[in-house]
Amino acid sequence: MIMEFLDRFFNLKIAVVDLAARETEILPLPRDVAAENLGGASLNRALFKQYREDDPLVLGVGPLTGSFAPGSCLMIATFRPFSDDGLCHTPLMLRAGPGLKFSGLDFLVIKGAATAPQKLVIAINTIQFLPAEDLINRSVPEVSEMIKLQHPARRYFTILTGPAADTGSPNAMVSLGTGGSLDKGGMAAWMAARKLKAIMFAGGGGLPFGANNLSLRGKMLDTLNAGRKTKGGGCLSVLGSIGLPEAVKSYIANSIKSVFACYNCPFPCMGYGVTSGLNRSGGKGSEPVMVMDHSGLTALAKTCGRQCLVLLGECQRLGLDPAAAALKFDPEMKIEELVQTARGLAGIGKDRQILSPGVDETSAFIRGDVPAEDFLKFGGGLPPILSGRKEKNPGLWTDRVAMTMILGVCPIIALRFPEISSKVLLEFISDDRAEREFLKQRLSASVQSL
Amino acid sequence: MDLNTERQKHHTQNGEAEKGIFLVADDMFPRPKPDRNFLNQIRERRRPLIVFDPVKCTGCGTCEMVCSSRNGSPVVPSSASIRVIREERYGKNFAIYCQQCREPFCIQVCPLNAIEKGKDGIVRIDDMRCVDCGLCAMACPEAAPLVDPISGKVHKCDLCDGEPLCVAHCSEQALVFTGGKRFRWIRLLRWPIQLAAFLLLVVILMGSFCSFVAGTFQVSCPLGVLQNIASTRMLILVSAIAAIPLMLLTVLGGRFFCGWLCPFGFFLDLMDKVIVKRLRLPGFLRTRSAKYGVLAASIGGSYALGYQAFCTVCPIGTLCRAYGVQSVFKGYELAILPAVASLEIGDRRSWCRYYCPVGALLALAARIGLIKIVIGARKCKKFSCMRCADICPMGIVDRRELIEGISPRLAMEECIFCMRCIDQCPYGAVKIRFRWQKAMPGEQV
Amino acid sequence: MTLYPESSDDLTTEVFGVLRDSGAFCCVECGKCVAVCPMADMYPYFSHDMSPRGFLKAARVSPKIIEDGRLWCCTECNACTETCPEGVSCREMVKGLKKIALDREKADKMKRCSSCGIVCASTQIIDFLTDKLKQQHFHYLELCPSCRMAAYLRRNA
Repeated sequence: MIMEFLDRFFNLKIAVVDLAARETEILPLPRDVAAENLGGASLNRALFKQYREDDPLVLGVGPLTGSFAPGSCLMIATFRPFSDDGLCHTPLMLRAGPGLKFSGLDFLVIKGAATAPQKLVIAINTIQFLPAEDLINRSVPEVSEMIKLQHPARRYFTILTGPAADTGSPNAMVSLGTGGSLDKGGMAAWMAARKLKAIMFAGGGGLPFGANNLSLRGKMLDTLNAGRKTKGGGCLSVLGSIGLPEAVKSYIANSIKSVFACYNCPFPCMGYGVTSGLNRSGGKGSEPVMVMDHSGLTALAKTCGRQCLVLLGECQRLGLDPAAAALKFDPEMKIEELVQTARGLAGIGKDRQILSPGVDETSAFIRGDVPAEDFLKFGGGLPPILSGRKEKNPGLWTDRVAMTMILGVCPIIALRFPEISSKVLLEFISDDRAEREFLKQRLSASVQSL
Repeated sequence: MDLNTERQKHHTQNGEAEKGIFLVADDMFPRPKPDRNFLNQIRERRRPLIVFDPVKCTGCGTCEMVCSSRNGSPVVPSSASIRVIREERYGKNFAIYCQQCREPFCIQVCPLNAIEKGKDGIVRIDDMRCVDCGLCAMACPEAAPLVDPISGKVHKCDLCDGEPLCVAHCSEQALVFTGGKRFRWIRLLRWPIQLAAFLLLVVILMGSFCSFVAGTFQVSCPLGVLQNIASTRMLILVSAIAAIPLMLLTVLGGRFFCGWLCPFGFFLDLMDKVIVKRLRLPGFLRTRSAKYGVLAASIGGSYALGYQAFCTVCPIGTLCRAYGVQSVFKGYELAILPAVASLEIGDRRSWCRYYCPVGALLALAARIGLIKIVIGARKCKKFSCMRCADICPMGIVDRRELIEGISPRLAMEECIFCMRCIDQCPYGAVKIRFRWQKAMPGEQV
Repeated sequence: MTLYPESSDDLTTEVFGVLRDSGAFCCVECGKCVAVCPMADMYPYFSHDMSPRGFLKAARVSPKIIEDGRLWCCTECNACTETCPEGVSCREMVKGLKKIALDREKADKMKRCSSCGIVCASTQIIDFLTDKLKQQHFHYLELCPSCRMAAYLRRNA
């Protein structure tokens, strides 16, 4: 097998970053390892095993990340969470995957612990360790603004942690920009323990991918659009199918003023909710809140009703996992008390509380039949939906998520659209039938072993 | 002699070159003159452009990917000619790309004349001449020429020479390729109505101040009624009520009379069609508040003099009386019309803008008017189009605001509701709304 | 050939470093950079002293060059570097000198973006643009390109 697709879909570079020594090593990605694991979560795990003693955080992409495959936004963060001995593979969407891949790297292994808060700035051919003392204990929007002012020359995609992580709360959540993420496995706590405040990707590069990819994308969109009744409503349909209470549904539907999509995603599942009238200071406000964390919003809606959107915004400001926070919220509490409780969970103020990240409890808020261990294995934030299947088959959920997390496309789009199968996705990689067969076998093997 | 050796000569001769001796790029590659050909103007209007709808944009960035991978290049989104801006603070997305302006700013500032607007209307950067100085990006109000962060090269959208890829692949149809609305029907309605009003008023008008009587129903010029009351110091209710219809029309529909019914306005519009060269009136003559002064003077004068002072010199009135069928022939009245109409040489409808007291009275009513014309930010192409600013006879569309990227607020007391702006706008951005209605997102009201 | 006086103060060392790193000491004064520099078409007062060649010569003489107003006329287009047969990177030299001037707060010719505060364009360049745009001063000229795009979004989305 020639595997020449590897040159077109990967940079074939790994960077190993030592935060303590502030050193970087750039290694080539071995072709046999890439062919064996295909990429994504599977290759992350192989790298994790290689650097096991250092207990690293491995950020990786799949072959289809950044390409014309729909929803090709995915970056996978693999690490060992505090609460577990197994590995957690967290999906990071928006433009995280292309951010890494177009900065010239496919995999980033971060090890060691810094002595002072650092930010890691990754551009083509340069990785910088810059001090981040002034970003500590500031809200997530403030950190994002300050980073933009400190680095005005380029547009960076940032993964940052908020004040919850700085105070050591285990319920902290990373933020992709200012809108939170699907990190419920404790990646933020991992970063905070090693004093890594932010990771910034400059991008600027690119890859050729497949020559037929654009036409394949067009064909896939035509088939998917033909089968759908309504084009919009992605966010609401996902929220509805994981158990958003009916009472809150119409409020959310009216609040979502604009729709937001990840990189190259034709069927957005996120939106901006405008919290007019229920501003946390009690006045009229219209601050848009990014609804990316469906399970978080549903958990909040179940405990706080219509105040869920304002609280989601507050949790995003604090860098706190809203599903964990929802455990401590009471439907009877007023908005000020809820905000105070959230701040306490984030470790701010005298009402500090510590909760262990209990995905078992949070998954009780979400309707779905996915076993908790699989849920946590993939970050704890992916919605347990499976469209197009009448019979309940939780193993299928795990298989589909694993498949997309190896190939590097968004799991949510594959869960919503069963037509996005491994067969269709492999067509993007190779137009040689034999090669596709081989890849399919390798993919199944990797999925099984994950 | 080519430019390089010319410059070298001046360098070696003396340490400092004298001002004006230098051959600048203009002399060698003269800038193209604006096209005054009528047919070309029509063709240019119908030319399709990329129109962006910010409400539909999801910020997915597919347009950047497709643009950069044109002609089989690798997918490098940061080197695309379109850039998607995502502002999480406001929850909005926007695509920045070259709008192919009718009067491009980049062409005006390029020191090497490397940018050219072709016959097809597309603004292109000539790679042979461009040195990536970035001045075009600094001059563009939306910084549309984009600088590649890695190579430093400046490139901008060239509509893919007629079939833009971003439009073809945008999943939400936020980018469309269209020439906009083509048929201007409001003027087909307005000219006949103006003509009919002209004939009607010139033929059937009667009375010492302009009135239209049909049985017991009477409609009079409100200024005439006011002057009558002031000069006779008596209030005759029947004739006073006759002033109401026109004022009511203005409160409901703005200065509709000025745009559609005033016979003198019709005459001025006809003059606009034939005037070729314009002279700039001196600054002190161009004050819009002067008309309120004329209004006050005409009422005060009527009170003082005991007869309707302004009605005797009113161009609208003299047009109807002196030139009409039932003409009351007075020598000086024939002279008033050409004298006042000659102001038209300055700005369009300068009489209506600066001096007309009837207009001033109607403007006062229009200030409490019910409807307004708004230019919606969502569809307006602002600095790249500016057709409304070019066509407005009253000059109330602020070009500076359009260039700064703001959709301008129109002063309805100055607007004569001719609706040329609504007619002209190919993208349907100009709309009529009730005064209390909230404007489209991004509009300033 | 260096014309630097023997001195060990910080400014001289820094400027020397910038000149060395950009290869300014390799200049043979052929004048090709002057021929392609767009500043000739931008400024009516363009002279040899303002050209890359003249400026480099002045820089090699004295580190006081960072206080010279001519430093801010350059648009950093890189035409000079691309045409130089000796590989001198004039743009790197100008960028380095500008940074030294900014660090020492001698950049009064430089305008900062009124929104984010980064230095975006010099007074000379903005004057050139204002002049070309028919002497109208627009507010958007005071913003850097990113802030301009963000302002456009705020007003129109």
